[in-house]
Amino acid sequence: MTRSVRLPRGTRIDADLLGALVHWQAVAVLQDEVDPMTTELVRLRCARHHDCHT
Amino acid sequence: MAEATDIAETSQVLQQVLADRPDVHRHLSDAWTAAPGAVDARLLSLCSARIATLLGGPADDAFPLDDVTPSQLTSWPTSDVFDDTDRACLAFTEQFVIDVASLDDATANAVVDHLGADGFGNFVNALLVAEQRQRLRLIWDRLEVTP
Repeated sequence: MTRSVRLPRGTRIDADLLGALVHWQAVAVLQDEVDPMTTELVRLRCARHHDCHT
Repeated sequence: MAEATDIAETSQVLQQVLADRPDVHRHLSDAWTAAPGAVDARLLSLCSARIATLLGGPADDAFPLDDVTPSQLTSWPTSDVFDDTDRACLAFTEQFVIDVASLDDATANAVVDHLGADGFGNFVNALLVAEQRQRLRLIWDRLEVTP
């Protein structure tokens, strides 16, 4: 696991793509028909993706 | 990279499975529509094709690649079809797909060297879209939920 900062302050991210990703992820997590086991597996996968330890 | 025509296109699979969730499909569609505008379209197609190979799925119709053969792509470290930017991004793509949390600085910095910081950020976001499309498609194929 590396914790180096890879995007310097001031990096400009394409607003259309970033906005679309934010909306896509927001609407995806609002889906409530996934069983608890799958939900937990996805949560753990996302935590690893984001190097999150919660 | 040509695909057999009897395999459903990924876009078609996503649309069918998400037919009852049009808001989800619309936002995912917005993301893959925006992706080629944020990075070099050929580069994204190249990396999308590599993702398909690594995951064992069909090439994604959203990011078509016409000028590279599968064997050339498999031998990207040595094939003269690719330049240094291609190789840096393909190396990043491989680590991204195999174990994203273990991506090392050298591999990431190689992409920054070629695309710049802005380009690197956009490339990673676009790569995420390409990977998510293919993983969703593969999961739904295996669960046989595709209509």
